[in-house]
Amino acid sequence: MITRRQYIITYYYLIRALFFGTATSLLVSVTGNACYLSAIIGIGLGLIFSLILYYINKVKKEKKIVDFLDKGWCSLLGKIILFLIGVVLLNDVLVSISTMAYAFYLVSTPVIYITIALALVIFYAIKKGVKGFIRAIEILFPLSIAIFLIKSTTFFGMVHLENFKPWLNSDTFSIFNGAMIYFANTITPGILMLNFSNSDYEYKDNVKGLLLGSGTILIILVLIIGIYGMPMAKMLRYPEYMILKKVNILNFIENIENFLTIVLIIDNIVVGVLATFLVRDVVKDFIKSDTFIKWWDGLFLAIMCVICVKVFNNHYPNIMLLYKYEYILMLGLVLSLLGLILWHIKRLDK
Amino acid sequence: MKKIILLLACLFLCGCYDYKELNQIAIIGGIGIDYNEEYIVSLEIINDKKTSEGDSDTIKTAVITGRGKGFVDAFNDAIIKVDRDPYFYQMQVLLLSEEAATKGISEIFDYLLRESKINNSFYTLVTKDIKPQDILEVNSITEPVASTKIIKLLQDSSSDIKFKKDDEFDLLVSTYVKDGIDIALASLEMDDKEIAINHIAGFKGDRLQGFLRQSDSITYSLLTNKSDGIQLHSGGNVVSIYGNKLKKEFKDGKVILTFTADATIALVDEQVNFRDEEIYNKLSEEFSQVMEKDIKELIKNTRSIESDILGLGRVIYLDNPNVYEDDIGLNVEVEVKAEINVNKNGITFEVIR
Repeated sequence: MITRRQYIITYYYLIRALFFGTATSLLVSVTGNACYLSAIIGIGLGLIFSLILYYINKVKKEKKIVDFLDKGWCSLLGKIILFLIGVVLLNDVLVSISTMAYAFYLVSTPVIYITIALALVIFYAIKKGVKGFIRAIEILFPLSIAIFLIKSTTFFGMVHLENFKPWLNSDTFSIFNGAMIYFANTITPGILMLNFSNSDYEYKDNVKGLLLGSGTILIILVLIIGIYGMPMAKMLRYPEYMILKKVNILNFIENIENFLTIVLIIDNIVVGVLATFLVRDVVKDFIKSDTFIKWWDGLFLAIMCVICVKVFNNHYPNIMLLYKYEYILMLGLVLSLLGLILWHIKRLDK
Repeated sequence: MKKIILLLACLFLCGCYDYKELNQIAIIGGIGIDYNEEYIVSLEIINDKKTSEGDSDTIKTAVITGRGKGFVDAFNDAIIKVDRDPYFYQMQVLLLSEEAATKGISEIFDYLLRESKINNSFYTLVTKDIKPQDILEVNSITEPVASTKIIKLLQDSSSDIKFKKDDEFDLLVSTYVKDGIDIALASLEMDDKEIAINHIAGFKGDRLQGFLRQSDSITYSLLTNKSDGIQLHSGGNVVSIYGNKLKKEFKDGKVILTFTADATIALVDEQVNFRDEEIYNKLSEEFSQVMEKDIKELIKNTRSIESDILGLGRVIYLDNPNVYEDDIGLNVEVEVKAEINVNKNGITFEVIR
């Protein structure tokens, strides 16, 4: 299994991933100037989720979550939900990166090419195995932190305090809704951590990963609002990308937004790869044929590419449905899964 | 399998589908928008060409114009006349004629902000007494590309009216969409066959209301901290302002503007000795009064063109959004306090007379 350091780093990547392209702009538009409060409530709920995650990992020990859910109808239901979570996460990753790449960089390239490129990266990572992949993202972690620090330090000079006012002028429902958006977008990829368990891991490892990931998201929110102000931040589809265009280091390093975006894409690829692993585990549990499993990943990614292009990228209203309601779906799936797992544990105790 | 993946990776991961050679693209340096019963859009195209054999590379520019009922029609009309793929990522300036700015800028801003091919880091200016296409065609002695010349004037020159990174297009739009503040743009004009920036144009909502006088434009630059080293005059005395700050607050039904700045003595018209600390206090008091008067004058003149470029209404909005209403900034009582701290005398103690 992976080391404690790798565990924290993986959790950090997972926490951040879905905010790119979806959650950040949705959170800002729903909660307005109260998005920090929603984020803080979301982090608080995330800490409770991390505790449950830690508890489940302690109980199931070294087993994978699919192997742990071995008997009964709730196990079957749990596996189906795990499969769905994997599909939703991979779809989110493919849609958000391909839409963004199509909008900003590859405006003439057919979206299917962009999606296939992403699928190939995920496929290659899968072929290298979990350990190899986690080692790769561990190596990329300092780059992620360094780029975050570059962003934060260069942007703080551009933040205007008056952009934060009027303080917390959102209604209670919007703040609650925002907290749910934050919570759903952090815990759903967090579920993928159920595949990594070791008796060495402690609750504080989960907390470290969560706070590190959430902290960076919170600071990005502060920067977006501080630079653009709420009316403009609400208008933008990719505010986290737009502020990157403003990076200016020591008055001579400029126009490096394309390089800085790599970190956001890596976050998403981590989720894409781990979601594909999860789906493979579930399928492997149902279909015991080795030949089928050998071809499964390629087949699954190909199907997901077609769904991404045909259902979403070619139909913007569908993307908007995903944008507005996906968090409710994810929240429903994750909470049902946690309920089922806890019930399974209770049954095992008896 | 590995060979198949390698082949697919070569095909899909190289990112060459959108690739274009430099000679296939037309680099747009600036866009000019004019209005005369229809929109007239001018594109400044920058080409790097050798003029003749053995010559060093010379940058040439060409201006292509399109016309249309709406801004987008005119924009597209200009684009189809370009024989290469227009490349807007290096765009530096957007020039609006007085007529286009008076007609309204919301449609233009909306289109340019939404269009992903256009980088949002350009500056927007208004042309005064000259058409944008004429400005874009100017070949200055020091800079052959008009848009680059304008950027240098805005950022690097010793002009009193400068614009900072804070005034790039997306941040300008962020000001435009805020409640209680109107946008102000630098205005371009021809001064002795050279492009010059001498005034600030004030807007109300999306329409140009008028141009501020040069002295008011400089005061506005000082208040908004756009430029260091602006010189303030009082009779024969001159000081250079730096470290300027403007604090705005809403108290007891009135907006209080408190301007503080440090200043370096540039010129004194009497025989004084700068070893005497009293001279600093005297000059500080004198220039504080001058600044206070200038700010009051600026407020009076911005109100005369019904433009709240100082964001007086926004001060009220931020204090209490429920009290805020449209145009409140144009009518609210304003108290002005200015404190200029003259604290540097250069490298001499005495005045040569």
